[in-house]
Amino acid sequence: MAVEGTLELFKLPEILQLVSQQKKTGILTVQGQQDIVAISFLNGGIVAADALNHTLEEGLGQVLVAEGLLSASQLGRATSDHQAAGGRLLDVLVERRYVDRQQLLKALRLQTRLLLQDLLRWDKGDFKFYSGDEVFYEEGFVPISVEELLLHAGEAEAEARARPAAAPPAAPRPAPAAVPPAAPAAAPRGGLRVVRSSEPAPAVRPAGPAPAKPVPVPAPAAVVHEATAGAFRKMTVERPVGAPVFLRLMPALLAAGLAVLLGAVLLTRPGALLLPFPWQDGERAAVIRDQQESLYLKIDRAAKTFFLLEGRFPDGLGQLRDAGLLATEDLRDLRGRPLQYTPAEESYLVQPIEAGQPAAGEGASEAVSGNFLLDPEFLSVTSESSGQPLVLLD
Amino acid sequence: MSRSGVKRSFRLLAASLLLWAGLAAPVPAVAETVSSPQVTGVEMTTSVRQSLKRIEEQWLQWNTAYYQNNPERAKQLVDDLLATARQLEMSRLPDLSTGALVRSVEAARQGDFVRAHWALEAAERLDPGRPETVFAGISVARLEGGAGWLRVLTGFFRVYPRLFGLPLERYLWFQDLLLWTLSLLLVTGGLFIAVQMATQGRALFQDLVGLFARRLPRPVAVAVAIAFLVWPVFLPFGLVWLALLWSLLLWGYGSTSERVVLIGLWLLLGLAPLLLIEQQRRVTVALSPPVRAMQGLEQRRLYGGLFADLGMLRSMLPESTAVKHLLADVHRSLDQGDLARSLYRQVLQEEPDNTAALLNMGAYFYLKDDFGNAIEHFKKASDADPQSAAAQFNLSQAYSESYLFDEQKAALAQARQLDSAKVAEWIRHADQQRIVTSSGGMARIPEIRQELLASFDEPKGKAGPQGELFRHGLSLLLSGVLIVLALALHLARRPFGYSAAPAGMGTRRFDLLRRVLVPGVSSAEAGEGGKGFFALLVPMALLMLPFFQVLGYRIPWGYDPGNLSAWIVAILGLGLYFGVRLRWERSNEV
Repeated sequence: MAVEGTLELFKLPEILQLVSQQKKTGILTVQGQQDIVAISFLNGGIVAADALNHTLEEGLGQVLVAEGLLSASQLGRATSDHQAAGGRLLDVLVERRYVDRQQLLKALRLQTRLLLQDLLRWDKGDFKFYSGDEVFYEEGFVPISVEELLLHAGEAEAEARARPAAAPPAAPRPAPAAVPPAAPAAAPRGGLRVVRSSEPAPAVRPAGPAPAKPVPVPAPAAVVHEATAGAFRKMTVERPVGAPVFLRLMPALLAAGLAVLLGAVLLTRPGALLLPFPWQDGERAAVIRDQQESLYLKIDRAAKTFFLLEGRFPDGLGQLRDAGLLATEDLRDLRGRPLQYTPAEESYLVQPIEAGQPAAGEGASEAVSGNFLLDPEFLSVTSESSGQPLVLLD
Repeated sequence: MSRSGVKRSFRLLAASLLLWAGLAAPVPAVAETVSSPQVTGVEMTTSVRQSLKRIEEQWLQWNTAYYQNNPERAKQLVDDLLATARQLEMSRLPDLSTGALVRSVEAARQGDFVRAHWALEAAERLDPGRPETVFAGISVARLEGGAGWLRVLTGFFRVYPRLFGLPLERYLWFQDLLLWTLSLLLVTGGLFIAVQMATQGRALFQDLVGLFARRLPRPVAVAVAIAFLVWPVFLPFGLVWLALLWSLLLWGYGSTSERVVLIGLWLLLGLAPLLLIEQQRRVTVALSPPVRAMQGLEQRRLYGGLFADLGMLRSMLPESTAVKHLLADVHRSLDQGDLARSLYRQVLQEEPDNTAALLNMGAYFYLKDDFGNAIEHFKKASDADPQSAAAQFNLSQAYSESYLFDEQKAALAQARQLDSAKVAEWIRHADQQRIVTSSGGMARIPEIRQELLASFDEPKGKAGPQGELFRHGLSLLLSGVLIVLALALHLARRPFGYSAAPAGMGTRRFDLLRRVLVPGVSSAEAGEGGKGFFALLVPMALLMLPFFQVLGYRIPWGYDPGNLSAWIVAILGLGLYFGVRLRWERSNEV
């Protein structure tokens, strides 16, 4: 999905604040009369900014020197090494220990902010925001919040006004004649148009050296950018060649698998959820035994109530359910196994069925003996006589 | 007469005298027969058995009155039943109450609601305050329809306060709540990890592939990465190892709040087993017949198996003085004085200063008109507990019967000094009970419960008690190790490890559905761990509501209304929840 419009209608600070408040991730490209800038957002925070006519290395080098982290000669040496060895200037600076990584990141942050502060002065141009997917940024880069940016921009503006007229602020290098980009249809002037796309947003990068080391490892991208030195000709955006759908969906599939497993364990072996470790076998068995015991106690009370009313045990547990003495789920044990109920004249046996066979050692048998309401022997017992024996004397 | 002749004459005379004495002595009355505890649980005299027999007969008569649709007769029989129970110092008949409930619902199904209602009233009188009576009332009201629906609604509000009035049912309900809550938190935690995998897992997966791809061809690296992520599922209890592995791997990709949630889950996984193990022994004891019998005695509920269960108590703790004391009190309440006395004697052999036993022994002798022995025991009780007003009062009564009026006045004055209000009450009820007895045995039920708990201890394994302690604490140790490891990783890595947002897969509509139907996704994408966890907790709680007892212990309701209300609440609640989610997600779209 992309949002586009013009700077005449929507000022850049407003657009930046909108993206920040919505905590969007994506790339905002701003095409002005002199340059094109791409700002990468991650959850509403700015993590990178690249200008077509102002390379990252140039800007970073200037900041490092201006901040006193590097001398001009050191920068020169580093630049030579970079040209000779290839790779990225940032990596050369760190590897050759000109600066440490934290200093470099701070400088990069400052450079990004300065670039954006310049950008905030633009009042003519078009913008387009591509939402979704990934953005590439330097590992360890602390995102710049829009509020922070606007605050610094305001302070810089105030300082500039207070400073006596001096050399005009550095402007981006003169841009070549603007050529309308061969991009999707330009937005109609004076309007904000939401462009919906069924594809993930493309990655947009300006020309120049290889991009910053991305985190995570990006899908192979095919972004072609043609530019001649000092002249902006054409920006062609090609959609990145992403990983196969199967691989992109793999984590979601794994997550779904875990969710299904959880549900299965919850329904079939809840004891394994609460006591999940192998060394807890004994405790798990004890808890399951108690749970089974409570079920059998409930069945026993129900069966004996039936006996009290009808003078016999029920033919099946279903009769107890129909009478309201048991609930439907009481006809199965905790693991969902059906219970087999076998009545006798004055007793019954109940045991779970597993694979068509009664599970050995897991059943319960109860009888009416000892129950004064049910046991006919209880109240007609032959008692022990406590009379005095007759002693016969010789 | 020779010496042998004298001896022979003497023997004859002695035998004649003995025979005359035997003939002249009054014929002793036939002693009251006592039943064998092997049949009746505790020894029972004829009169007690007759009372129990009467209850059985009265119940059969009540059933006859029910079939004859004779409410007046039925009401009279309920009065008679309760009067008979009171003779045995009992006030509730739970089995008969449940029987009346079943008859009530039976009548309602036949369309005879008048009979259903008086059967319900009988059930309530036979055992007041039971939740099953309200459950049955709800069933009757539902069948009745019309104005009955109002009773259905009010019934749901009346039932739960009653639940907490029954000790076993209340205890099991709280155990069910504990098990349900732990299960809910663990399942929600597992789903939280699953959502994290679905959102952050893409980055993790790509990192793993990248790592393996340094040495292996890419397709092989992909396969190895998948295998690395799923291998724990093949271990015993693989689900927990799988979740632990993923939680550890995803730690680096989570925000601070997500990491806090993960730490909480690890702690829960470690603590839950310890909680359960501690409670499991108590549940075993609570479900045992002797404890049920003691609860019955405390609440004066005369159920059919009460005496058999009490007999089991004695066999489980044969040497326990507290059990002997309790059984002595039971015999005393059943008016089986001789049986009570022998047990009190055994108690006093172990505990010579047991005031309650001394009082009751003295009371026994008093009722046997053996005032000398009565005074002796009351004096011992008074010496054992000088603050006992009952001992002094009983002494005064015994002195009075022995015509020792000076001593009687002194003892009564002493009793009044100790507790004048009680003495006044005893005097007021002196026509019903001249002597004060003590239910010291009943008061020792908590002590007996502790003894049962100790006797239910699992036999220690070969490792010994310290080994058992270590084994029980292993799960907590594992949680601790995970937390320490994660903190070490946290300190070694960058503080904020949030990486790219997940793919917005497919169309906008699909994305919307994904966010609505899978709670926690939006929060996971924003790195909000706490919100994500609670977004999962609410629907899971609703989904698991109908499984409240299924996951725990079945509460042995006498009459079970089923689970329909829980299902209704769950379905309506889920509908409302997802409706609100859809609205919220739509309103937050750009």
